[in-house]
Amino acid sequence: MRKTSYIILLIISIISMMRMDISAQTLVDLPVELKLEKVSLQEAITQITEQTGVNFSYSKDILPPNKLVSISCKNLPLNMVLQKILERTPIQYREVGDQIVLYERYKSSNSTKKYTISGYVEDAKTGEKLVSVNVFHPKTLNGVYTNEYGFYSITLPKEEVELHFGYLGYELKVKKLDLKKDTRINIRLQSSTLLQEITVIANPSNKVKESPIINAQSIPMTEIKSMPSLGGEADVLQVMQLIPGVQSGNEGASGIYVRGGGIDQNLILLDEVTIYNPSHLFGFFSIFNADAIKSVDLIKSGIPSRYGERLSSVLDIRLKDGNKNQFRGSGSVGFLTAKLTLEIPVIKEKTSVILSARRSLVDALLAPYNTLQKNREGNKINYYFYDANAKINHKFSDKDQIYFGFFKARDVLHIRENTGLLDSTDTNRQLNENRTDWGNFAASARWTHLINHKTFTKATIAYSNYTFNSEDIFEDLQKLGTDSTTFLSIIRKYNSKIQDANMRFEVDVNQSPTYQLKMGINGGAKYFQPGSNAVIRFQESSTPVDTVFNDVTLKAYEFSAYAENRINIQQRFKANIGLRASVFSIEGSTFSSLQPRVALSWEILDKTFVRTSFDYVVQHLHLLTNTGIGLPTDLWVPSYKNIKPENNYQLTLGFTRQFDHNVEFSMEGFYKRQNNLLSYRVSSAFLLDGENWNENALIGKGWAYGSELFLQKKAGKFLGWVGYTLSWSFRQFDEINEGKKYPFKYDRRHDISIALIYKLNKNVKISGSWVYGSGNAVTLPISEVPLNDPTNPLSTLTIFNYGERNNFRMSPFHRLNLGAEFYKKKEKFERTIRLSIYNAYNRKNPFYITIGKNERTGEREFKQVSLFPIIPTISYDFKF
Amino acid sequence: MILNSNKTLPPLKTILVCLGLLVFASGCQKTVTITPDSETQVVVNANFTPGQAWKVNIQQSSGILDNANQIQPITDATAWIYYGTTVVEQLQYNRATQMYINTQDHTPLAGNKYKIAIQIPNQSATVMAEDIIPESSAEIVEFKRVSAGNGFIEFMFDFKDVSSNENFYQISLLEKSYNKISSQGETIRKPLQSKVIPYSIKDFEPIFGLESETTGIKLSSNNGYIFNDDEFNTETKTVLLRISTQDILHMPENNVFSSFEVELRSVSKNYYHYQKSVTEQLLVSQNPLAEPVQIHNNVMNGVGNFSGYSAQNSSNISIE
Repeated sequence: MRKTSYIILLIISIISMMRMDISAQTLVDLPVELKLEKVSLQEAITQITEQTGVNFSYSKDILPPNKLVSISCKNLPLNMVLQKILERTPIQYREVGDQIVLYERYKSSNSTKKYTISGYVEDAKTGEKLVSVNVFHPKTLNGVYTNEYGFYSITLPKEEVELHFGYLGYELKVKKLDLKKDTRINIRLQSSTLLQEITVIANPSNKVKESPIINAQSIPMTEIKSMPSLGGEADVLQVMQLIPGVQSGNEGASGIYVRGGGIDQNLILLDEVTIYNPSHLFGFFSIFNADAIKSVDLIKSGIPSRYGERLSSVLDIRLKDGNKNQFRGSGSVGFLTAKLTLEIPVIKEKTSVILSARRSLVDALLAPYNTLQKNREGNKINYYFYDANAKINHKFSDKDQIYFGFFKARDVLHIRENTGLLDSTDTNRQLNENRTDWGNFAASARWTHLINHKTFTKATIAYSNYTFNSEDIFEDLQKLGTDSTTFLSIIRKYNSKIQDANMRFEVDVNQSPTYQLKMGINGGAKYFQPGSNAVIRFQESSTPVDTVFNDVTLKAYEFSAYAENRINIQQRFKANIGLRASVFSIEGSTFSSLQPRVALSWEILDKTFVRTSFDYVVQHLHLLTNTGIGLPTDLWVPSYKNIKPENNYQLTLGFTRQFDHNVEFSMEGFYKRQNNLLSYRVSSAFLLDGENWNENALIGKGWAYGSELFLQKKAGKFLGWVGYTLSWSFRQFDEINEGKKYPFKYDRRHDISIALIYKLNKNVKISGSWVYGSGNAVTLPISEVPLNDPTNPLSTLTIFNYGERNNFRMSPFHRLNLGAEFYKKKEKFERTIRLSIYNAYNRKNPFYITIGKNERTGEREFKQVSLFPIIPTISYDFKF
Repeated sequence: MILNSNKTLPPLKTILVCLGLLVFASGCQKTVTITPDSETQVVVNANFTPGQAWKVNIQQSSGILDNANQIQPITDATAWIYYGTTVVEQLQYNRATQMYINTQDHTPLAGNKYKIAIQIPNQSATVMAEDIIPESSAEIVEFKRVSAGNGFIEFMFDFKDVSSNENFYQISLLEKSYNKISSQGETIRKPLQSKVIPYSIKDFEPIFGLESETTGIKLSSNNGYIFNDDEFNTETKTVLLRISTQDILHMPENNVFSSFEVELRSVSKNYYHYQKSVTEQLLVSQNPLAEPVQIHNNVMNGVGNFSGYSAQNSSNISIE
């Protein structure tokens, strides 16, 4: 009943918002006051631009040279003014993004012959390929967008054509040519100095028009870097948590939970290679170095069929290719890390290398503790993390390019503790030592090839792994009398690993501006070692005893194929219809599925889009977790025997309205149903080995529904966004909570995020973010009951009775982060000083709640543990 | 299923220790006001077995913040035991034991399912629970002493699961201590006491002579292990039981001797799941970030455990 009411409410809200939107002002509604007497058409347009600030895009050639305009008006809407001054000319106009395009009325070409124009669009200064550049043919109102490699292809009739290449933050480039054959044109867009000074982003203002893909949220790296964050370290994942529908888990954690999904339901791709654990420092920082990243896109719904294997979202992170023209470097030193990035043009305009490395400085913070421990014979605790990226790309020709990428991230923890007494002769001692390290490694090689002007192909070999290693050393040396000693040494090792190797081949066919086809196949193998234990025992002179147990390795094979059709059914009605087929085979168990994906976008009014999508996604991997917060000990395990793949159905309905000044508002409602979700019998919380996870798994269901509002300003001196999510999320397992449905741990009724950046002048920028979220659900004991001890019926021991699962709510969390940047440019050197205050008003947000006794009264009470207080940080960034 | 925290905890423990350090270094604690549903519940606990009279604990739970020092029994309840639809026993509160015991001489039988119905003044809903006494589904094959060392004694115990159904077992080790008395030229044993003693356990594969971590779950009382027969259905299970000499009374110099026997219980599913959940709750409570464990409950309109078992004992081994 509640769900039905909610859906009705949602639909009413959308309709209301659309009605409201119809009356919203567009460029052509702007009032104009003009008094012109016999001026040229170009002069009239210039006057309108000066008065209204509206930019016009057109070719002077289309303006009739002898046309003179006379007009006198006051507060006349711009569209009426344009109709007046363009009457009796073949010129028409249309709003495109934040400008008005003037074009000649289209006359069907006498020739039915069509040719294709294709090529790459790149930054004129760095040679970096530009993604999602709008390639527009005003005459036919057809347009395409560059793909993730900067490639475009548009097929037009044989005649004189004019193409516009538009990308916010770059000067519009108009290219004219007499189209008589298939033609390759590579375009270099010049970054607009003016725009750079007053804006801080480079993002297409009308990105929503790029494709019918729903909710592909893109936050420019400049904004991500400007956002204040924990430790002053720009963090891609923590900024993503500010997007509606994306939630943080526990306080400070960088994991993301998308629309009621688990932390394991996000496909995190780094240059198209899967990353299995995206966090450093026990989940508090992401492993992605913002200096090396070119773009970040998050897809929450309408997931295109080229993506699979995760139910809730796709986080597509692209690394920079490296400057092809000039040697460039950048770096920073902050409270938490130091990092350096070098861009090296090996062969100008052909080959470039980008190297980027980051290392934590936590060791320095631990140094005082370790110094104090010196008298304890080497007691120490040490922790650090690092990550490094390398990417090489080489252009053989306009047709062929290759890319090699490497990525490594590692956390290392070393604890050494002398227990027992140390005497002056050091003959009686006990030593406990633990070395633990974990992290990801990824490598890929990619070859892109243009078969012809319409067909872009890509072949990729990729490898990714995540490993966790722990070694415990216990040594006991005792002196017995004067001559004899006893010695015992036990080394315990624990390793877990997931490895993934695959090959992919993908084809983009740009058949026409109204139809594009993407197809691909993928085949590979996955190796799972969910936990191997080894114990080596030395004692005096005896032979070492070496025991290995649970050394289980499972090998799985996967194959998938997809086809994705982008169709402009009508000028304003676009569809992305796809199908993905996948087969996953492991140790005699085979799981296959067909996954339909449909996304539709209808431009009901100018700049107003209604969108809907349906997607069905299947996931063959599951995360065996103790805590659900993304600790490095979590294990990836496959669907196997009785463990069927998880699947997800999602239906969405939303609309987007683009306003002037790069403001966009969107609203989307969603309903998700998830099946075959995995949870574990509780004893499995301690079962981190490879033998029995499938026998301890519980299979259940999940539901999530809600709506999201998103108001974003994408450019200007003042930019940022406000997001609000209203949602519900539930789980049901037959063996949990007596089979009754219960709220998911991260069921968060209200979630608000505000992220703002304001550029005071060309050197100073201030920023802030504020988040509010309803408290996480938590299971707390409600009573104390006597234990039934079968060996002692008179036992007076008691245990806790926990009522229903997730029966309480933690207090809401809210936090304000503030930041400021001070930029200075010298001749060949730029520097930025960043100040950041995390948790500016020192809110004690709940990390977990425990039950304990009051130290003074001895009475039992609930205690909330909070993690991060106010943390001011400073960092120094430089570029050369 | 493996539940050996020693084997798998270190990596997780290390991480949790570090998280703890992080909390210590940067975090803080504060008392929060949470008002849980304070409605008390009726708690019914009983284990019943063939040949023994009924003993049922009927108590009142205490609110989590009540700070009650002791759980109070409910003394004015009326309790009936049903077999099918027939009342076979009415139970009466006994002040000495603070338990509800027989008013007649009924004792339960193996293979039968019994129901308890409890009415409490001023409580409209009848509290009910039912469970079966499983028939013994295992045969004891052998119990023998295999080794002794500095501070420990080790026994081997074999039993065969003879039923293809899903079965559950509890293995307890009993120490029976006695004095030796010479009488008319014969030495006789004068019993002193019998008690369940703690032990550690390893599974044993006799063909290959391999020891491995047990698949059993240690009872929270530390007095035995429970198993399901997933891994030895219709087969023989061999375990090595190790006791510490510090835990036994055996003192030959004081004329106190010990003998040992295994009590093998075939327990009901409710018995197994309750004990398992109790152990798990205690284990998981070490990790504040883990989802806590709800105790298995088979009592309607209340909480607790009403479960049956059948027991058989091995031969007795003296360690004189």
